[in-house]
Amino acid sequence: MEEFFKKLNKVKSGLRLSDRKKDEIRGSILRAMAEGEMAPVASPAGFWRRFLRPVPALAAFLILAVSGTAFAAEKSLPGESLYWVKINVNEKVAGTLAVSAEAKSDWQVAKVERRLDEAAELVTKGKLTDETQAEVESGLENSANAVQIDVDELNSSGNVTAAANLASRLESAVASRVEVLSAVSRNVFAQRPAPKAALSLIQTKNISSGMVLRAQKVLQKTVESRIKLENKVAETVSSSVEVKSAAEAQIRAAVKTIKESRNYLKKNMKELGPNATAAVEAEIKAAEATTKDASAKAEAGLYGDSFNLSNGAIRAAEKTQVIVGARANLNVDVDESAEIPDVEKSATSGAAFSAPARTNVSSSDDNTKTDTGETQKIEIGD
Amino acid sequence: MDKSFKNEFLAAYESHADAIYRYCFFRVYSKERAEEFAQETFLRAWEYSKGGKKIENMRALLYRIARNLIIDHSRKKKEESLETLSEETSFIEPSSDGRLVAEREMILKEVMEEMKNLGDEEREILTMRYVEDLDPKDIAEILGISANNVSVRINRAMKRLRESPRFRED
Repeated sequence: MEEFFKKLNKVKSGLRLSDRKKDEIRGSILRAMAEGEMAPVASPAGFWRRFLRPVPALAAFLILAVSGTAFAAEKSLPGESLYWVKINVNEKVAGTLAVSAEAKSDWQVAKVERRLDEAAELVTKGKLTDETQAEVESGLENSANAVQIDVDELNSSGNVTAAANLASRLESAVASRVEVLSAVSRNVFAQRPAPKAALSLIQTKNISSGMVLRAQKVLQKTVESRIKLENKVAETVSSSVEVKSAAEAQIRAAVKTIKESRNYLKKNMKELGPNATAAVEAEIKAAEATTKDASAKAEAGLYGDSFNLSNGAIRAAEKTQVIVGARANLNVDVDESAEIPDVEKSATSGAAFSAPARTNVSSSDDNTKTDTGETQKIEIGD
Repeated sequence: MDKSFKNEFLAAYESHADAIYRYCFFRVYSKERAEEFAQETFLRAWEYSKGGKKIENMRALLYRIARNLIIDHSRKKKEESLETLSEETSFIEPSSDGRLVAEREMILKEVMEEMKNLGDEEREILTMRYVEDLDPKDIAEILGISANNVSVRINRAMKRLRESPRFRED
């Protein structure tokens, strides 16, 4: 290794722009300065940026709230002019209002949910492009990374149950939405039955498949993290008072979430129809059964196992809410038997994570294909 | 436009041009394309800053722009194999000592070969840390992640590098 760094040091000084190229670039900068010939980078949010630049986020929010803009922005999607307000004003204000460490982590989880919900809506509306995908992916990865950092910090400070709980919340946020995203991605053609612009549909489908793949990667990391932490909870601290109290709290949380899921299902039964309602009801019952198991484990003093089971029940119950919401709001059926890879199995076995199948229709335009190894774009600016 | 503002930007160009070029080079492994990315980076940075936006950290801004350009490009083009790209013959700028250049050329190719097995993210972070000698804090600012996360990524990349067959033999 030392040899490698010696080599690197030897070559880096010679690895530079040639004088000729340097002059050429300097010349083009000077031309741009003199003539202002370059078109400004197109940005639908430019107006809002200029307007709000000197105003702190909270003040900007109050101004926009009075005009109704902040509320309108909440429904905006990447690529729309108000989206900048949603991200840089509304979400910044919400982030500032989250005071405790737990609230801040919860807000990051919520942002993960918001990005994935936006992705599904973009696909449904045929608005997922390379640019909007990049915007969603960047936000998704940033928030998911932020949560993962919080998980790692909780774990390293010895708060394993809180770390496992947070990892489970993140997994729950991502897992069900990946299924919805995958479902809407599969349905691109079905939902837009007049394919006048067939190529555009193919591109949308390819881009959305790439988006699904990125979301699945985030999910895989999350599942791996959650499994490791749950193993740690079950193996090392099962008898501690802390785990007992966490297990009891988690049972209560599972019961509450199941109740919420059932109410949400009742509210949306009409949109779902009898078959989907029965399927969701079965999922809720399974979550209930898992919660009973969790109670039994707790009674037997196996608090670590109880805690992990309750987390599983919460995830299952929350998933039903997302699936019902997808049906009610996006008119999408999440087909459980579809090509969703078994992330948990893959995470535990270390097997290679497989991508969802892409459309078989070949496109001559490779621009829409997403490279699986690529890194994410980051926001420019201060 | 304020003349001193232009001069400041040109000074930033002189200070950071080679670093941005090297960063692009280790991302794309092509002299020609790294030059194009470097040029585009500075033109975009000028477009960005001439709007009057206060730039707190020009270096971070330049890296961010370069990074996003490369990501955009890799999205639009099917990724070319690093194997093919490294067939380019000359990377090191000539100096008075021709023998030294030839030797460095060879060493650089070895370094490129050794880094080829790393992922994009790993190559990127090692370039920032060990080619440009940026602190984790600076890298964190550029990547928009925490310094702690940067350190984790550097360690992960180093581990990956150590695990490559070439280093295992050492």
